[in-house]
Amino acid sequence: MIGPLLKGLGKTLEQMFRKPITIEYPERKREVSERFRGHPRLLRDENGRIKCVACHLCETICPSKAITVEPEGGEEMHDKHPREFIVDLARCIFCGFCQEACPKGAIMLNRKYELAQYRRDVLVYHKEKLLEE
Amino acid sequence: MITVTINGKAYQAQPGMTVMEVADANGIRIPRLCYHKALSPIGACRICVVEVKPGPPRPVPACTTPVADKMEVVTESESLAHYRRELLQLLLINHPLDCPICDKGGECELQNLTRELKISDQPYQAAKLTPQYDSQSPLIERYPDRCVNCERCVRTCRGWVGAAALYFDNRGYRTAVTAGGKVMDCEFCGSCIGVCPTGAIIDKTFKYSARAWQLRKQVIVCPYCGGGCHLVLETKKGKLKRVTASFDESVNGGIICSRGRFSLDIVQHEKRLTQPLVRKDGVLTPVGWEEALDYAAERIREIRSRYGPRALAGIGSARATNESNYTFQKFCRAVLGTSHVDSTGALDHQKMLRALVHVLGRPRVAWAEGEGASHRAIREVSGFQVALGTLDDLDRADTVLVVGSDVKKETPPLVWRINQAQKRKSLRELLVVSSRHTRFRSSARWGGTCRPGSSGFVVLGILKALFETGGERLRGLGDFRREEVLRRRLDATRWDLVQDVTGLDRDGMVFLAERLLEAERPSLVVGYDLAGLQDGYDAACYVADLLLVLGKKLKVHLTAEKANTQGCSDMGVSPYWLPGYAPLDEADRFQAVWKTDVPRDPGLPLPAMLAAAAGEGPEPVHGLLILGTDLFGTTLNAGVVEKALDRVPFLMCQEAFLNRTASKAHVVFPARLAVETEGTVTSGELRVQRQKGISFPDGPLEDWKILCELSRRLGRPMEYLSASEIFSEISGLFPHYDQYALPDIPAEGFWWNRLYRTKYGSTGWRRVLDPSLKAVIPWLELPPRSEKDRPFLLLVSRSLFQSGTLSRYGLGARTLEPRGRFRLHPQDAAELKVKDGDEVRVESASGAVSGPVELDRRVPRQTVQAALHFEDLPVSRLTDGGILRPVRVTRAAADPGPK
Ligand code: SF4
Ligand code: SF4
Ligand code: SF4
Ligand code: SF4
Ligand code: SF4
Ligand code: FES
Repeated sequence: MIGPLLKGLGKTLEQMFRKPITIEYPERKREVSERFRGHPRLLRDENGRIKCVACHLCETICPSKAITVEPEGGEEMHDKHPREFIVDLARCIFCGFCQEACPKGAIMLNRKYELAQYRRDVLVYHKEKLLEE
Repeated sequence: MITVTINGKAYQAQPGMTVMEVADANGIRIPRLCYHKALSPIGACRICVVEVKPGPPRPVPACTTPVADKMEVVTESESLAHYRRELLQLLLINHPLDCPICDKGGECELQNLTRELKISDQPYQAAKLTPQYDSQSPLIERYPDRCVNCERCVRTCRGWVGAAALYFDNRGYRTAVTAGGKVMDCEFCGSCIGVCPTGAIIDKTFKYSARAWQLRKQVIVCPYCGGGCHLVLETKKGKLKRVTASFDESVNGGIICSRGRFSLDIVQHEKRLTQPLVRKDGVLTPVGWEEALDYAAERIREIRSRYGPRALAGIGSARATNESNYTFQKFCRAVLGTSHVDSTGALDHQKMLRALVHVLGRPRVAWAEGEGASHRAIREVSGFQVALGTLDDLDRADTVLVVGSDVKKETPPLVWRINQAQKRKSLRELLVVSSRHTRFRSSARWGGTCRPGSSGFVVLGILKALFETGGERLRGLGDFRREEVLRRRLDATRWDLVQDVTGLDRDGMVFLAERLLEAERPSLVVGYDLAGLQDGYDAACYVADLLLVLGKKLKVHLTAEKANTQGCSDMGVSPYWLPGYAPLDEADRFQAVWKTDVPRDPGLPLPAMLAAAAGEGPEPVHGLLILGTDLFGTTLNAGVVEKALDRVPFLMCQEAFLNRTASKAHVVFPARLAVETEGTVTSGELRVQRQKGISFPDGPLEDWKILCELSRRLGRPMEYLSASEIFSEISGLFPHYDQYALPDIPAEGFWWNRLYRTKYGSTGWRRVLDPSLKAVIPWLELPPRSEKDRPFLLLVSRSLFQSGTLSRYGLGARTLEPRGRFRLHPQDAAELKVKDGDEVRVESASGAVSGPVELDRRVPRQTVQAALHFEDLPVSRLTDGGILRPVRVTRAAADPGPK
């Protein structure tokens, strides 16, 4: 009768001195893999200009319709970029299709994964925010 | 029939077809770049190479090689693929390959070909070219670095449009398409955009606003002119992004004009009316539908009970669908009980129809056994419509005579067909008589200048010449029952008078008459320079007589300025006839269907109606109902219109925009445009087409629905649930329309003057001209001449970029011609000491208008030309119901500046 009880206590003691598997989120955050697919972000080229040319391919490929691109022309003849670029993170399923479709390497998924918010609209990222990410 | 083997399989072909055509007809894909089915092949790109046996040992281009009997063709092989890849890689040397940016991406033939031929690199190097970009032209942008020199744009602009605004510059490696100057100076039809396989010519209004695959495409019939072109409206999320045309349809063959392509944005214009307006304390105030309808019904009831039904009058619209116009005239006749119903067609197009009806007869069907029940065997079809030609008749014509029409501006598709027929050489003689010089006229084999307003005399002169020189050749052609009277009139009009009035000599007339007599399949194009005259009806009677004398072989083509100009008359929006041109004494037939009394007394035509609304005459009009019409944009004198609209105690308008007429109304209902209304429209060639209706803003209702609502409130309800119900009622009363149910009308529509489809079978009955000869042969009035103190003639004309006053809200029209101008010949301008852009004051007996001048060599001397489209150039202050008026032109006094 007492045997199994002691055995259980022993197990507890053993665990107390082991390194824990869980971490104290959100005080501590876990490192994710190099190839992790997190939030989409927009990139700039070496001159600091947005790489995206507003071709709408990411918008088209996105299976959950999370992306909206609004194009605008520039001064030069072959110049197009997004006036607005919106990713609704609440819709994004982090499939990475956009990154794969992009002919300009302008969009990629970073390693951020947090999505908990009190309000949905906070998760609608606009161009500036996507460039900061 | 010959047999051709392609890739081992045998196919039947017609001699004269090319390998490409045979392959396309049988669904075999041969890669191509410069070939386009709407254009004659030139064999420039050689992408379409195939191997033929018997034939040269080297590959030949499929698009220019005609097939021969027992020819064996191979379209795919190792070496062919190699050739094609090499050729394409050479084309890509200077190509920017910016498909993600390029608007053409996704629908680009070059892009697709690159994938089809599996090209992933471009190994060649060559001197870099500096492309001459064109970003300054209005509405169109050109990127020569994306051009593949296929010449499609050049061929289209020359062969179809007739503008010849594009051509190749330089040779060899440096060959490039150019438009001459720095910016394009052309018709801005955008047809070159439509044919370009790449993104070298693009629609500036669409640039970077969406990608091809995001757009929803819906086909509509153009709301502007009576050409009946099919337009493809491309929308994204319910917003109109661009208008294109499809080369797969048979009406306009993929070519459209600048109004159709660039001015359709009126559908989503911010000034569209979306709420009913009722005048309260003198101000038009937005109210709900119920309130506005109740108010209108109340006012109508009040007028009817106080003054009787003839105190009410209605003006229908050449813009509205057949169903709306039919409902409108029925509303006037059956619900209100008035016979005063007309449209602005009364000022021009309807005069031609009236003359044709009077001389050649109304459309009639004679049934094989007994009268009455429909859809039995037809014995005979007769009436004026038998003499009206279709666009396809123009394709076949060997001689075309144009009199009294600036065709390109009135109905461009007629010109496109003529251009094509000339290019094919099936049309041998194009003869144009006009008072203005036009590019179209310079493409003619014979062009004659007549004095403004003399078109009727030109036709008279041709008739005179026919009788004088035609002799025996005339006999057996037509109908000579009127010969005696006609000859008397013609003999009484001496040649020196004809020459004096027209400015053309007898030899010219004899030449034209001779050409018509000699021709196998002659066509006559008549338009608004004849019909718009004060005595346009009389002049049109001579056109009808010409048709009579030349009999069945002569086809006449009437230009139509608005999309449903023809349909509006077909539907009986006229004081002279009921729907289907039925005489007023046939009212019984309509009474039986409408189940109310139908007035038989003749109603007032438009000008008299307005006079009555101004309180003149024995029967003043106290309530005026207007369907989609701006009376200030017509040749009716603006002062007269203003007086009528200001005086009339009740004015109701159904409008899409608050134009000047509607702004004087007591109640305005927001109406859907025809493109937003399900129903039918009838183009100038009597082609009845189905309009599917795409609605843009929320709020406006179909015109016929508004009228149904009103009729319910007036105690004589017209209970229609759908447009097809109305259409079948129309068909029941007008057998020529009874060929399909509305939903079954084929994409290309049907011609109501050809009862050969569906129900009626195609054989066993005759089409005859059975002239009613009701009209007397009128004396033509001398056209207005300049007077001593009014030495100029005002000639009302049209702009290529505008159509009536509706287009003034369109982006294309606003961009290309932002304001109205008086056009003067440079020499006249020099004599008046005015320069291009100076202000002049033009003064007629009824008013004066100031506006800027544009010098134009094509304007006849002593003439000032102006259009009615512009808000800032109120030309109708000068006119009096016709297109000509003597005026005085002076330099406007220097601007006194702000006081
Ligand atoms: S695919 Fe790339 S270039 Fe295209 S819109 Fe998306 S981010 Fe921009
Ligand atoms: S023209 Fe065609 S191939 Fe060239 S950039 Fe545009 S889409 Fe790409
Ligand atoms: S827009 Fe029309 S007229 Fe102008 S160049 Fe193109 S095809 Fe020719
Ligand atoms: S502009 Fe377009 S249509 Fe014209 S030659 Fe170049 S590629 Fe062909
Ligand atoms: S306005 Fe006439 S010619 Fe131009 S697109 Fe419309 S129907 Fe065709
Ligand atoms: S398609 Fe035949 S040569 Fe260009």
